[in-house]
Amino acid sequence: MSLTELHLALLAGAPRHGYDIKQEHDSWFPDTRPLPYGQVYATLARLQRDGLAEVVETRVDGGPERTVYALTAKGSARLRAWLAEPAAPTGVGAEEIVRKTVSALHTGIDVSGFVARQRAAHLRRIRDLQGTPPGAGPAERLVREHLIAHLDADLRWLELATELLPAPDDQPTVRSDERKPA
Amino acid sequence: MKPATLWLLAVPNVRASRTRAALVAMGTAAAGGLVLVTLALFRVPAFALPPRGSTANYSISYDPRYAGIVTSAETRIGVATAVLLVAGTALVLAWQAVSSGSARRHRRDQALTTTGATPGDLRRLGAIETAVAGAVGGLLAGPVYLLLWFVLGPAQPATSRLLPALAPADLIAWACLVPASAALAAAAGARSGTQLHRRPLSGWWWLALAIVALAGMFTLPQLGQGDRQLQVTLMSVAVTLLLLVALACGAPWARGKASRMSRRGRTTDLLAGGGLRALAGPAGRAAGVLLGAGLTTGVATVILGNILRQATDLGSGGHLTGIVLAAVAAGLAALAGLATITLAAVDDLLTNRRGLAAMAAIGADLALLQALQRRRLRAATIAPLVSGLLIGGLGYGALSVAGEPAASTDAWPLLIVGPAALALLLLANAGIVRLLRSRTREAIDPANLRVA
Amino acid sequence: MSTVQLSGVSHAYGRTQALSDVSLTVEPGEVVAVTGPSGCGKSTLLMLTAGVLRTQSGRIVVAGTDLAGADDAARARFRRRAIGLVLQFGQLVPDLSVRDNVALPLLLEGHRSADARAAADGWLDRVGLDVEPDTLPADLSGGQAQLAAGARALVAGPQLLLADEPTASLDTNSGRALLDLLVKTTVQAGGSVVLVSHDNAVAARADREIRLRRGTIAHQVALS
Repeated sequence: MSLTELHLALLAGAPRHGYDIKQEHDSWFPDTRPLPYGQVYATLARLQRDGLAEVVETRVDGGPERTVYALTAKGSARLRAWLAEPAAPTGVGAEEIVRKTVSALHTGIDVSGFVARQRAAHLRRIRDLQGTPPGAGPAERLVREHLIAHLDADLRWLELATELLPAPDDQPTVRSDERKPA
Repeated sequence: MKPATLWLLAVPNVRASRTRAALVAMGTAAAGGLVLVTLALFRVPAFALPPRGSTANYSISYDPRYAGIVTSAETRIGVATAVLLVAGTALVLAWQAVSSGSARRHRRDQALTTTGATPGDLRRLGAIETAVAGAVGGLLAGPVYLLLWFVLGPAQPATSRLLPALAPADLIAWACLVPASAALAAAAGARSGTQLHRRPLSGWWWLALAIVALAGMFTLPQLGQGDRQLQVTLMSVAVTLLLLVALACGAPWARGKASRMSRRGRTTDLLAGGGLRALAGPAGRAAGVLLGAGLTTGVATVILGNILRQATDLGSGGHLTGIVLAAVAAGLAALAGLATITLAAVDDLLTNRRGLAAMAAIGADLALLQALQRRRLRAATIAPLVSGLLIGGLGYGALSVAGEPAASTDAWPLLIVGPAALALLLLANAGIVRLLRSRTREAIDPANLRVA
Repeated sequence: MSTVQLSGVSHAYGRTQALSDVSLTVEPGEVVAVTGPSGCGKSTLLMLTAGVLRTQSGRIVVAGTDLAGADDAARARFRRRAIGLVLQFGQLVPDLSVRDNVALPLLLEGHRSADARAAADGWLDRVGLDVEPDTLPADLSGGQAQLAAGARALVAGPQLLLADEPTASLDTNSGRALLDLLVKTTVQAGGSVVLVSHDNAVAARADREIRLRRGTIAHQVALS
C-alpha cells in the first residue's frame, strides 16, 4: 500500500498539519475520492510511530489546536526509495504510476531519473509483450496487444504530465521553513 | 460564382505570381508586335514573278524604296511565314508562363473544389488571371511594333527596308489585337485551370502524323509547279503545318524518349529519364521549336551555299537579306524554345523541392543533379536541332535539284553551320544548368524535408 | 569502434537552438531509440548523423567518417555508402517509379541498372509492397510509400540505418512488420539502427532509449 509513501510526499514540500495534508492531497488528485480526515490522522500517527515523521510545532490560531508534522531523515529516505522504484508496468489498474508521478513532480525529487526509470520499465515490458512466443494463438496475441495499448497510454500520460506539470528543480526536501500559503 | 467573388479570388494569385503575369504579357506583346509586322508586310507593293524557267528579268520586282525580298510576292510570303513562326514561338513561351506555378494553383483549386467551386468556376478563375496579362500584352504590342517598324524601316537604307510607312491600318490592327490577345490569354488560362484527362494518342499515330506532315512539306510545293507564287504559298503552309505538328508531337515524343532513357542501363539516363517525363510537355514544345529553328537554318544554309557557288550579285543582297532574316528568326526561335524549357525547369525545381531534397539525402550531390539536368536538356534539344538541320538542308537541297537533272546544289556549308549551331546549343544548355544552380541548391536544402 | 560518435554537438536554425551540447555513441549491432516531444531536436539529431545537415559545432564521426570535416560532396558519398535513410514524409522522388526509387541508392553507387532493379524488386517483395513496380509515387498511399522507403533504406545493406517515424503512416500490424524487417536485416548484417519516434511501440524495439528534451539529452536507459 503506497498511501504511507504518498503522505511522505505530501509532507516533503514543507511541514504541514493534517488539514493542510488533506487539502494538498485533494489538489494533487482532484478527481479521486477526497482523503478522509480520519485516514490522514491515522496515517500521521503511524508515520510518527515508525519514526518517518515528527511533530515540529503545535499551533493554536484561535481555532482548534493543530499539530504540524515534518519528515524525518528516515522518512525522506523512505520517500526517495519509493520514488527510485518505477511503478510496476501493469498497464491496467495503474493507480500506482499516477501516485508516483504526481508525487515526483510535486516534490521535485529526481524527476528526470524517475521518468527515465518509469519509461524503461514500461518499454521493457512492451518489448517483452511484443515478442509473442512462437506458437501463440490469436487469443494470446490479443491479450498482449491490450496490455501494450495500456502501457502505451501510461507513457503518453507520463509525457503529458511532465509537460503540464513542470517539476521544481530537484531539491533536498527534508525540512524547509518556507511555507506555502494554505 | 459571382464576378466579384471571382475577382476577389483572382487578385491574390495575380499578386503572388507577378513574374507569371509579366512573362505572359511579354510573350503576348512580342507575338502581337510580330503579327502587326506581318500584316504591314502585305502593304508593301509587290510584283509577282514570272513562272520558273521563263527568261524574264528579275529586276522587274525592283522597287527603290524597299528590300527586294519583300517586293517579290513569292519571297514576301516566305518572310511573313518566318515572322509568324517567330511569333508562334513567343506564344509557346507565353503558354509556358501561363502553366507555370501550376502546382500551387492546383492546390488552391482543390481547396476551392472542396468548398464547392464548380469546374466552370475554376476555368473562369483561371481565365481572369491571364486575361489581364493578355490585354496588357496586346497593348504593349503597339510599342513593340513601333520599335520593329523603326528597326526594319527607317533605320535601314532604302533598299533594305522591309516595312512601309505607318498607316491607319496599323492602328486598326492594333485595336483588334488587344481584345484578341486578351481572349487568347483567357482561353489559355481557362485551359490551364482544368485538369484535362484526354486519352493521349498512341505514339504510332503521332509518328504517322509527322510523316504525313513531312511528306506534305516536300510534295505540296510540287503541286504548284509552274506557278511560283502558289508554290511558295504552299511551301509556307506546309512548313507551318509541319511546325504545328512538331509542336503537338513534342510531348509524346519526349515521353517516348523518357521511357527509352529509363529503360537504358546508364544511371544518368535512367534518372534523367524520370525528369524528362515530368517535363514532357514543355520539353516537347521546346523540341518542336528547335526542330523548326533547325529546319530554317538548314534551308538557309543550303541556299547560302547555292548563292556562294553562283557568286553573282551578292552585293544587291536580296537573298542575303532573306538569309540573315532567316538566321535571326531561327536564333530567336531557338532562344524562345530554350527559355520555355528553362521556365519549366525552374517551376519543376520549386514544386519538386521535397523529392529533390530526399534524393540528395540519399546521396545525390549537387554535381549529380546538375548532370541530370544537363542530360535532360540535351535529350530534349540536340536531336530536334540536328534532325531539323539535316531534314531542312538535305531536303531543300534535294528539292531544288528535283526535276532539273543538270542542276546541282551545294550542301557543304552545312558542315560548318551544323557543328557551329550544335556548339551554340551545348553552350546554351550549359548556361541554363549554371542559371539553375542556385535554385537547385535551394531545392536540395534539408529544410525541405521537414515540411509535411 | 563505435558506429556513431557524437561529442558536444549543437545545432541551430537561425536563432532557434535545436540541439545543445549532445554527446552519444551507438555501438555496432545496437538498436537505439531517440524519443522526445515534438520539437525536442530528434529529427535534427538524425539529419546530422546522416550527414544531411552540415555539422555546425561539435564532432560527429559515423562509420569511420568524420562528418564535421566533410564537404557536401563527401557527405553525399558517405550517405550512399554507409547510410540507409527512412524519412517521415515525401521521401520518394516523384519522377521515378517505385522500383527505381528503391534502386536509387544502388544506382547512385554506380551499380548496373538491371542488377539494381532486380535487387529493388526483391526488396519490394520482402517489405510486402504489392504494387506494379512501375507505379509512380503519386499513385501510392502514404503507407505504401513508407514501405517503399523502407525497402530503399535496406537495398544497399547500410552500416547504419536511420529511421524517422518509420511507421507513422502504417497500421499497427504492417508498422511492426516493417520495423522488424528494418531492425533484423540491419542488425544481422552487423549494422546499427537509430530509430527516431514518439511512438512507444517503436521505442520499445530498441536496446537503449535516448530521450531528448529541449535539445539536450534528458536521459539514456538500457532496455534490453
